[in-house]
Amino acid sequence: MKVSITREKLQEGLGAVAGSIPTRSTLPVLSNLLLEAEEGGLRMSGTDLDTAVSVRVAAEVEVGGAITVPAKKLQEIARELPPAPVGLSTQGDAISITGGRSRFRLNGLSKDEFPAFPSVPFEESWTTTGRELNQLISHVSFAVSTEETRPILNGVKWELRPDETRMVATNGHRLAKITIARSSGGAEEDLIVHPRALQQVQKLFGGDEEVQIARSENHLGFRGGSVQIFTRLIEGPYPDYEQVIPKDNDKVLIADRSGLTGAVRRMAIVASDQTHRIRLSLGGPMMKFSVQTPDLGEGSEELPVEYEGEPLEIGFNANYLLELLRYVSTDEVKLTFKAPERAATLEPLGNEDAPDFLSLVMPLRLQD
Amino acid sequence: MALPAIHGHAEVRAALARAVRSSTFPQSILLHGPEGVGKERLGLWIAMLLMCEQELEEPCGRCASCRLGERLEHPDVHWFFPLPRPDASSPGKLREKLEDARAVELQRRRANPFQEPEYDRAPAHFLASIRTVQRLASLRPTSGQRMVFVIGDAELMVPQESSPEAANAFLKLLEEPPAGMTFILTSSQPGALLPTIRSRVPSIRVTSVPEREIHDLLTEADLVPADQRARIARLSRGSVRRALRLVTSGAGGLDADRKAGRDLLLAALANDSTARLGAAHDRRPAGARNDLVSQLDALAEWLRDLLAVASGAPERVTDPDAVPMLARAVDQRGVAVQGVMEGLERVSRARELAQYNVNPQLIVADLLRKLQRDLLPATTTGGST
Repeated sequence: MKVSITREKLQEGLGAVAGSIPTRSTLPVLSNLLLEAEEGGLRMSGTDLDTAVSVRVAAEVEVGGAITVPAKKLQEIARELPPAPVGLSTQGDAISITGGRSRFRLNGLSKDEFPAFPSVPFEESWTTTGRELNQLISHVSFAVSTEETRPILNGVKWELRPDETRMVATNGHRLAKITIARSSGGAEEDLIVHPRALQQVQKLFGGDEEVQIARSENHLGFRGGSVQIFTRLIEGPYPDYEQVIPKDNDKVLIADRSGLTGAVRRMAIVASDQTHRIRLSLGGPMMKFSVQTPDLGEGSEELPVEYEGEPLEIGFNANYLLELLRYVSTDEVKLTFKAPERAATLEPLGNEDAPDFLSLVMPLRLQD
Repeated sequence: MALPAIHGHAEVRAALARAVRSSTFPQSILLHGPEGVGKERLGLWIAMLLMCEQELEEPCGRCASCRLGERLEHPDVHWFFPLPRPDASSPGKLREKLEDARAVELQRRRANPFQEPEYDRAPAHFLASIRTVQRLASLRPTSGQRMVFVIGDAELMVPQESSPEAANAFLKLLEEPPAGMTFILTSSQPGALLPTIRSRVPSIRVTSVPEREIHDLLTEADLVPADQRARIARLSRGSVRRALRLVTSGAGGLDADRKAGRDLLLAALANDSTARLGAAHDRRPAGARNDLVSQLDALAEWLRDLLAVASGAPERVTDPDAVPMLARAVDQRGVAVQGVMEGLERVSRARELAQYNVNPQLIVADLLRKLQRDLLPATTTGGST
């Protein structure tokens, strides 16, 4: 392999695959990245076996070939090289890197040692845009569980239907669901995807760029421009989330989003570090927030709202409310309630263009 | 370095291969049997057989799956073994540190599969490791249809009687195993597994490795000069681990435990009580439970050798060099078959006490006093010593 590449292109490629290189692994070769000199470009690939990223950057290829090299060291070298064309050439299982007057030689491993990338049938793919993917992912990936006891909840449920696409995530205490129209149609699929892979998708596909998506039995593949991302699917079944979304919440509250956010944030200051519990008192035109934490103190605040329904006293984890409010883009939000021990829903209100986003939060038991 | 070739267990392997090829291999299996006979190696062999691209009676050794498996690098074969608990501030950190430690240990085993790990704390399977198993099992395989978990010394999921958390978390996986998962557990103390786990896992007994196979292994690995191989193979008594310990302990051919076992026997045969009390006094009063158990096992081996000589079958003695010493005990000291058999009983009871953490000095002092009475009834004057 003999390649000449600009320092910027080298850094760009390395930056794109860096996120897929594991910091720890039971397979030593995974701390390497795969460099493949192809016609007119250099392909860089990395994988932690859960997510694999491959990106092609422009380069002048004199002699084709492939090698795997220690990713971290190559990144550090690329960062420190002077702004000059970088030469990469291999001798056996080593690579020499030259830039300006600097010369390095890194020991690598043969391409054969690197795990094969999954084969995903892109000829049967469906297409979407980077923007759509970003909209879906950003609204739900925060709600994924980080608990290890139920690995299925560590993933995002992605439902593809002929005319719409939906993502759902929950940790059992709060849930986020977004549905958007599917611009290009396509097959029906139910997938459970790890949010780390979706973060890579968010990072590497943007704007109106067309992204092809296809699945094999075990993997999901994304392809757009010069980037490919593959992720290992999480094995189902995902819990039936529709069952927990309340349909008969009869108390409706409409509030100004920024006013509500500010009040919850202030109450959270004096809430317990363990439970983050705050109390909401509903009934009439003013909603009352209050918090009492033994050994610390108390706080209260009032916010003008529109409220329909019987008076209600209900407790919530302030952090969960704030998280959900962050993903609402409209000026007003609608919350619905049934009883102090039943789930509340929160959704945007007022903007026709706002995505169909619904979130749900379980209340906390009030002590008195 | 590739994994050394598997030796022994021919019948078990043939039966397992038949089950794999007829698609009747269970989703989980327990390989149990004496320590050091290669149960985990057999587990890895099954994993390779399940993953092999050829449908043969043995892993073909040539396909991509087999080559990765032999290098312990197959992305869908996960080998978990007990590790010492690292210091960590949170369950998440503990899981990460245990995975780091597993990666380091795997790398060490790849570099030198014959060397035993040495830990400064007692190793176990912790809840955090089982969480990693659960996470891996929730994913689809990297390639193909299957994922295999080999879990060595599975009884250490319950490191102490009061800590069954890891075993209970693992039980959940066994209760609802994800499709395409195979769990291979190994244990030399299957009775220490949770009954709820044992009842869910079909078990197969793995016996000791024939002397000839251990000789072959030593020849292939070229770890010791050719003239020592037969002797080590004989002394190993069917345990690959013991053979390797004999290799590392040097050309003398007696490992530390065997020496300690001989010293205990000589103390029991000594004329005066000073030697017996000295042998008891030489050990630490606490914290040496595992050492004492191994030494008592070695003493039992010496007693079996003594029994062979006393019953007129010196050719059955493990170490031919020891025959003259044993013969002297029988001919000159009057050791009789019945006495040796009672002695073996006593060692077995002492071993149980050692496992219950009784003071090793007391165990040894009492055992040697009674052993002397069993072995040398004619010379024993009374129980006052």
